[in-house]
Amino acid sequence: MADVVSNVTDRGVPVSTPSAPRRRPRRRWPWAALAQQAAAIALVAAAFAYLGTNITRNLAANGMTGGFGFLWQEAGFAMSFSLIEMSESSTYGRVFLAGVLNTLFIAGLSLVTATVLGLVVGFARVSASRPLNLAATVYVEALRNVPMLLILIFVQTVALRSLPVVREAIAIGDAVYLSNRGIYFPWPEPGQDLRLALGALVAGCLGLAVAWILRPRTPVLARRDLAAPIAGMALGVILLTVAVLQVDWQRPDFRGFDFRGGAKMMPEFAALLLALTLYNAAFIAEIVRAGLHSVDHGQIEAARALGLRDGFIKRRIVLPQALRLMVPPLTNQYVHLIKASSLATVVGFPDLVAVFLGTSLNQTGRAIEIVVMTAAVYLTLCLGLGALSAAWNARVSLKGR
Amino acid sequence: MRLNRTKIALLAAGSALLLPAAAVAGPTLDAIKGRGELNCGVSTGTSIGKSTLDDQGNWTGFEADFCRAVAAAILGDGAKVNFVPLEFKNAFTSLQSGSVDMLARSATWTMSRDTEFALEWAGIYIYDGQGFLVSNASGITSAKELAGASICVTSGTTTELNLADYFRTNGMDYTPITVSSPDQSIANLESARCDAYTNEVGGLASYRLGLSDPDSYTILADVISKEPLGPVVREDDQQFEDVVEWTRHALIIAEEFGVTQANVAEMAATTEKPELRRFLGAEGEFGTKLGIPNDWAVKTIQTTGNYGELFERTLGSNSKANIARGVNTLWSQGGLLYAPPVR
Repeated sequence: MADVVSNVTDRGVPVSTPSAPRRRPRRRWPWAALAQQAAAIALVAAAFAYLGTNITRNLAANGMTGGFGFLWQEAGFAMSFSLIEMSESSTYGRVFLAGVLNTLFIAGLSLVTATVLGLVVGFARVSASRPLNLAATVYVEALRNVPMLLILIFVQTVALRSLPVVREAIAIGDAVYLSNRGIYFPWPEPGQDLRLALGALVAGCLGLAVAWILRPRTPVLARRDLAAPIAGMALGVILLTVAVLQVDWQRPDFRGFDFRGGAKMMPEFAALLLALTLYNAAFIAEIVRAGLHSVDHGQIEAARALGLRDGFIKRRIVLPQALRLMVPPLTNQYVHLIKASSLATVVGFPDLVAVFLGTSLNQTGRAIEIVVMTAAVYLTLCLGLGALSAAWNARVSLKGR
Repeated sequence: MRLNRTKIALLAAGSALLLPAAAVAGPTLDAIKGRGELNCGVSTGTSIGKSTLDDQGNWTGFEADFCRAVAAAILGDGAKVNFVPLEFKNAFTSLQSGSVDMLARSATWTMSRDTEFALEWAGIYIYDGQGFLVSNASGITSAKELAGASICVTSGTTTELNLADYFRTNGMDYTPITVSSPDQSIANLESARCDAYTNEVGGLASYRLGLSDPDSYTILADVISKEPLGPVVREDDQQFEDVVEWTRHALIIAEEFGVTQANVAEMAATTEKPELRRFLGAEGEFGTKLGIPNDWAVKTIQTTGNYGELFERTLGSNSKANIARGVNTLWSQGGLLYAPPVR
């Protein structure tokens, strides 16, 4: 038995050589393999060179000039939503930046919401409760089997356009308003000193984080285990309340055509967020379910036999093992989500594809530059995500034990 | 549907990468004759009076008929047109990459497009300007009252830029609700997602008909820009550009001389007027010099009628859009339509 273990490398691959030392054969250069690789590289390089010269020749033949100089030109159009200061006199370069940020914003946000909803639905799918189980199954099967575009159009035309017009907006406590022109909510009055409020916000979050770190981890609870986390939580909540009260909130107020003051969530953004979340959560739920099922049921039974609580078993025994199997397919789903965020064009949310590949391309006519830049952004995002996932995978994969 | 359009744009860009230069630079006119068909880019088929796909699958409207007029001039048959519906944001790329021979859609002639896109406007066939369509219920009576409004606009158009200029010049703020097709803008206007929809007045008049209750919407009197619309061709074939340009001239000359769809054949046979004889191919080699048959003008007028007939049938008083001709009348009647003499 001991002999077998010593013959396994740390990657879990059995070593074929017998344990007795033997002279290693002289290393020979794999000439054939090298030649093959060199040929492959040369072929790829030649293909790129051909494409490159073709672009230049075609552009010259059409009397068009290439180059990225247009990025410094004034764009002259407005954007309905951007995270950075934008005006009609901003350059195309800034439009690109604003587009990238909008894409990151919508993709990042829906990635989080889809994951949370997917986890909840995934756990519901394996739940012992019949109604919960059935509801989750209906949700997954209904959403997973229709095109996402359909969900998006449904959310936009049925759900959001059916909200009342802005003059008859639904008011919730005179602070939040719902209309088909957007969801309006209070926002800190601009120009005030927010340092104290931000300090309280950070400290409050720290308090909650401390409470989380100190949370009881033993399956058997004792009163002294609870004192510190409850104190941390109370402090956190108080500080967060102080932060909220410290700020002068500006409420939305209807004037002229629209609400002024406060903040507004565009219905186009809400539609895209909702559609991306609902659709991807259905797939994530299935990934979660598969992961949970992959953990040997014997382990759960053993844990129950030890008297461990169900929640504890799920969090500390099942999920960590399931996560190892869930991450690679989850990464695929995230890559899909990032790419699908470009459906923003359909509803009219100004993401990278809408403002750069759409409006900017048409105004400047720089098709090749703009297509290449847009593709590069998505390529970077998706490959980056893939690399992160691979790194995480290497860290948590089963080592030889 | 939308994915397909995005794909078309990418394919167009992709084909610019892949096609050998010679295929793109070849003379367009020869390609059309060889193919026996004109590939004509029009708008997506929902612009009533400009390019509409009717319930029998036929293209109708001003833009569609202009394609037929060009096909008749070159091939002698107005039916030999392959209509390619293009969303505006893909239109120029499709023309540049050679997937269509020409555009006959609402595409405004501007200096930067003319100089930077390697494209040529073969004259102007509709003189238009940008306006606003609002609901009567909004109580808006002038564009100056639109401060703070949400305005629906199509992405990548001159109207998107003019809108920004107009509000900047007048010190007003606004929220653009930018989508890629006029249909979406109309849906947004109808659900009061935006307070006004902006486009060329001619376009507004035709899209207004797409509303479920057109009578409760009005086009404001303010016109905030010049929108000269015309057929667009690539710069690589000067002769083809001449053909398209002279097709436009032929429609105007025919109206000037009272040549109509009904009487053109008879006039070609019997007229004694020297200029008319040259125009209708009874005298001289004017068609041959253009690289097309000498009876090109006869075929064109037989297909679509003269400019007045074409306009009134598709956009004017004989149509649903019912737009007044305005400046789109002959110069001799105080309008802007003028064509060089056939000599």
